Amino acid sequence: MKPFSLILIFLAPAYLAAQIEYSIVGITPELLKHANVVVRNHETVFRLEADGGATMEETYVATILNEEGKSASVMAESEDPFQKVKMLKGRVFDVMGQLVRSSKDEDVQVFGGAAEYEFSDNRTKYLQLEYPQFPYTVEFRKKVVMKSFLFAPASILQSLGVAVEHWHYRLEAPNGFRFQWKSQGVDLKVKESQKGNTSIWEWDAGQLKALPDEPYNPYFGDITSSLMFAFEEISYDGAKGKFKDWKTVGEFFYGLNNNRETLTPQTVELVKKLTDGKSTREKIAILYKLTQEQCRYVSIQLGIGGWQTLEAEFVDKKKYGDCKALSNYTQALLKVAGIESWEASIYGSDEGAPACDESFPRPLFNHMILYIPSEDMWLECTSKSNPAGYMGEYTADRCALLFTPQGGKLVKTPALKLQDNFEHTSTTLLLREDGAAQVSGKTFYGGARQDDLRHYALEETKEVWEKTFTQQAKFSIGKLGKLALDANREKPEVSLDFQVESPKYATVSGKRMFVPLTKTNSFKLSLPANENRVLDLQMMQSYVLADTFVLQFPSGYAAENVPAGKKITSEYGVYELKTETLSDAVQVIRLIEMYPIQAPAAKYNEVRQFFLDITKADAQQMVLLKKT
Amino acid sequence: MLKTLLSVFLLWGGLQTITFAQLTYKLEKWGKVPDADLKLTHCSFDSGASSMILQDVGSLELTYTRDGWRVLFNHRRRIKIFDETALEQGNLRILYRADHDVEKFKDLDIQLILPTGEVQKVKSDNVFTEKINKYVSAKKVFIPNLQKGCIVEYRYELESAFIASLYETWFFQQDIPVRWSQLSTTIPQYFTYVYLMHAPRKFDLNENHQESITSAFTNPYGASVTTFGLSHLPGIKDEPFITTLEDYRAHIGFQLSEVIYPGRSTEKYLTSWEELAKKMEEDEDFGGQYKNDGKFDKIWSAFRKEVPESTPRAELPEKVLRFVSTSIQWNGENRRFPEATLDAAFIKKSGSTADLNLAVVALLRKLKFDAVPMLISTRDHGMMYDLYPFADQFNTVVAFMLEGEGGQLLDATNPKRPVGWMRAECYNGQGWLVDPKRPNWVDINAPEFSETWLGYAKLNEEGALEGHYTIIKGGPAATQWRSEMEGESEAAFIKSNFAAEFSERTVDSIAFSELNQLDKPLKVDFHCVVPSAATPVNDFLYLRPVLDYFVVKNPLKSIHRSFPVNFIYPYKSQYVLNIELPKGYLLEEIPPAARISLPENGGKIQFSVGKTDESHIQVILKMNITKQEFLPSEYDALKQFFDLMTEKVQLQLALKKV
Repeated sequence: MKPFSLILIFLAPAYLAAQIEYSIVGITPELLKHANVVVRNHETVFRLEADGGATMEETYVATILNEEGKSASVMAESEDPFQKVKMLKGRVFDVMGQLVRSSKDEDVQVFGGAAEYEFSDNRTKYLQLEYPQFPYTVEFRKKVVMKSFLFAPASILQSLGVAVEHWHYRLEAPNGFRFQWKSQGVDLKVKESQKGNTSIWEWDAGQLKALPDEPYNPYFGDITSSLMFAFEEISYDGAKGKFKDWKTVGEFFYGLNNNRETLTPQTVELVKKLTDGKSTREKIAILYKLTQEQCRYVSIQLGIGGWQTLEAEFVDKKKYGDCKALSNYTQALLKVAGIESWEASIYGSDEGAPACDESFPRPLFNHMILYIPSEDMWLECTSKSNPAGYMGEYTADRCALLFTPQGGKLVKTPALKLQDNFEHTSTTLLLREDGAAQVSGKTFYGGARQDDLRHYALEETKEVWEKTFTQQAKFSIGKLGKLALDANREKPEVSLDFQVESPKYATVSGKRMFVPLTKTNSFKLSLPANENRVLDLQMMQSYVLADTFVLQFPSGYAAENVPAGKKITSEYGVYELKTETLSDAVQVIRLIEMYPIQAPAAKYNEVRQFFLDITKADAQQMVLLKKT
Repeated sequence: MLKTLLSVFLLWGGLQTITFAQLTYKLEKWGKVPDADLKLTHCSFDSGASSMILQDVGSLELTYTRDGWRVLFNHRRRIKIFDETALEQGNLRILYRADHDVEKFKDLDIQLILPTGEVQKVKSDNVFTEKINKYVSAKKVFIPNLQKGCIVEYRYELESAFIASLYETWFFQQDIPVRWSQLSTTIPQYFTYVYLMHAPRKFDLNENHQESITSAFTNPYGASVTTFGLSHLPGIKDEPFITTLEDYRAHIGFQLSEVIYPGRSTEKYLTSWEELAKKMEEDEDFGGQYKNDGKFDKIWSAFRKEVPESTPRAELPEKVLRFVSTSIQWNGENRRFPEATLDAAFIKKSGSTADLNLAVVALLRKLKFDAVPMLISTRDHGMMYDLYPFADQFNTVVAFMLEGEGGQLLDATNPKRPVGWMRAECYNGQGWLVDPKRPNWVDINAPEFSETWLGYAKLNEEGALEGHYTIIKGGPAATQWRSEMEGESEAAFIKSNFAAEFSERTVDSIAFSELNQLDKPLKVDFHCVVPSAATPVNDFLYLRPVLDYFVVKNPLKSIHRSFPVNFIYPYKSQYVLNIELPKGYLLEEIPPAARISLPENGGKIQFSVGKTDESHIQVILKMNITKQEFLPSEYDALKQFFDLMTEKVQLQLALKKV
């Protein structure tokens, strides 16, 4: 026997143990259902030091079952002057749980590139473990050291498509440490103990089944369960505060951002000159526009600068800033005009926001806007085009934390209502014998329906708008005549006046011509078929479309068949189509109202059928026949 | 004659006025802005633009420093902001290589010129250095107080050790219009470079003169100073169906060809393709990888375990490709050199094109096949220059086997791809074999992407079309389906990949053939019901007989096209459907057959509807595109071609109850 065989024998037990532990065979079948990833073991130890720093050690072992689960093959962690990644390692195991490789230091990538308009001291370290055949298992170990921090990171147990075999979280802190915790989407029990001067809290969970990753679900960020913390006392980059409740959270941020409203004497003069003798509303509109016209969005985030605004004077001189700086600058302008305003933290996103909890003071915000209490009015100061007081889908209908002199106050921003989000079109189509058409029309857009168009009207060149219109049009365009886009500066309304040539609007089939009725603004939405929908359905956008289409026949043609009207009414919305045949034209009047939808999974197919019916009704065509 | 005069003018250095046939351009000095430019409100040759580069001046000077020969790049740019939509031009980002001091960034100087003519220096607190990754850093500048009507002017110097490429390519054309762009090069007499350029027309300025250079570190030497200038270049924007925008932007790049020092023998950098092949093969990091058994021991023994020696020789290339593509995951990156050794990638289970395809070469050679690497510049990396033997023009590698007629390509980046094909990005016209015995450019024709639909169906009075269909996918279309099917049920896959416009369709009885025979077309038979293929109205049934096709909407949306449309593959699509009409219904009218051809026989469409008997009809739609590139002048014809195709896909037939 050669010496190396001996070594093999000695190693064998450990090797076999590994094989048993991470082999896919060990996973109970219930955990595989709907799963793209099975988390085998996820353990975190968060150790808080007496000086306010902390160490976090995390082990994450996941079996990746398919391509959709590949996001679990990456472990990423950010670094900044207050947080360093001390260790990031990984190992890969094959389907039988056999170790195939261990990561090397050079496998850990670091990148720090931000967009042209951004600069920050934040960098990301990440490690990706790839393997050519599914399923395979990855094991990550990392250690993060924090000098100081504002928020303890949440532990995410599960997102959609992820099952969990075992999860454990351990928090260690000096005795007397006070905090609140909250679990979401999972029932957790805490186990407390003490060891000398250290208090220990532990949470356990396991055998959590996966929820399928289905579209239009109510889970924000597709997260289903997590453990979150709110530490009562915080200190970050020299700033100290209490996060006992929303009031104290607000006090901290108010303190951080207050008294930074000094402007240059010239600007003070200018504000006085512009607003003298004007009403409060007028003053707000004038000063909001001043910020919009003078400043551009540039984001520089360094240390506490991620949470504290730049001085108003800085913005005054540089004419740029991020959401905090531009809000603070506008606040300073308003202050000169005698109008009180408060900064507010909010989660900005076109896809909704996390739910807010009155009783759990853990901020989940990424953006800042301004609130004027006397007018109950909100200002989005990073927008170069919004009319004063209009929020748009990015910040409407969610909770915001106001920083008032009396502390924090959690409020809800107004929702955009059905009637606010409208599209009124009036289109005339002159059909030609070869199926081409001259299409001219006028459309008025309102609320959320005008957000994008307002951007093109005021913030992009005409060339970009023309290109976008051509690319996004629902019918082919051969020539652009008129394409005038006009944004109302006072109201969230945009109008479009257009005339274009469409080379193939209708389909010619011998002596017949098939003409779609509403193609210039057709409605099309389909939910994937799913007989076993598990998650509730949520589609919060609501709007009203009111359209008139006049389809003028080419000479020598008459209607052979014109679809009769159609009306679909349901709790999800209304669709109504009316046709009227005139001597040489057909007039189509269409009304669509969509209500916000929050439906249980059992109603999924009902909602799906509703959209199917509308889509089908809207695709109807009339048939014209050439007279002989 | 004119040139000589100009040289004298420049050497004399007085007025800095350059005069030539049609255009006079006077280089503006740093910070000196003519009144007309302060007042300028729009770009005369690109009317939609919201900003314009007034002048862009670069110089590349190869010069002797204390560190040896270096390229000094001086760049000076002046941008006019016409309106608020262009304020982002005030956020500058200048990238440079920061690893190992190969590039030194110096003397960044920025100023803002207000519409009044007042000049404001941009201070250093507006400048940030961003480390993007190990190699690249960026200087980021946020120009303060920027307003509409302002002019931004900046300059910097960069010292680069990249002599072979004379730092980097100069782009005359940018995404915003450029009124004047010029590049000067100063090349010492010892060095010879070749130019790699693309210009839309003759240079507006092309001037050369000799200068004598004195240096603190070396003897005086002569240098050739050449200036290229182009004026009035409209902004260039990305469009679909191109290789890379860089192929179309006016540019000039350089490649060192030879160095001759007095009293020393000539050092040739661009020698011959033979020499380059020899050099690469001898390179430890390239040829050494597949010629040296030690670099792929583990791969070889693992391969031998899986593929026994008794395997027939003809099956081996396929086995090699399968083995490599399933044991090393492609990490999505194009590389010419393996990161470490081939075995290292094998252990890591992940690697770049170099790791994967050199492993294929290594195994094939070990199995006594005549295999060599083929270097390619992918489509998004740009065109190749077969005139000049330099390796930096390539960015990726595939394997090539010199067996059979014409040889065989192998690309291990996708486990579903057979011997003979590469992934789409690699089809860029040609490739170069690293083979000192036969250094060779090989023309590569992309395989045909073909699809066939064949159906026998029965229509009922309610408009439902029920029948049996066969789909055959050939060439890259087959590979595409085979990879997309991974992990999906056959039923779900066919359902989402057939007749997608008909939302209530159902499919069953699905039978695939040749699913694992990767070099064969993929065939699937199935039964399908499309409930609303036809719309019943009164006595009529209006039937849409083409359920699926190559495209159902015209992919060409732009009205105008400024550069060629470049397709990857030749395409072929055929659709034949035999339909049995419901009892008592007749085809009311047979639409006329249609036929259209593309310019230069670049492709054609044929459409016809025929009656086989009173109750049966047959619909045929055939199309092929054989030409790869369509010039802007052919764009209208190509757009019409797709218009006709989509019209026939949407076409309806009127059936009438009798």
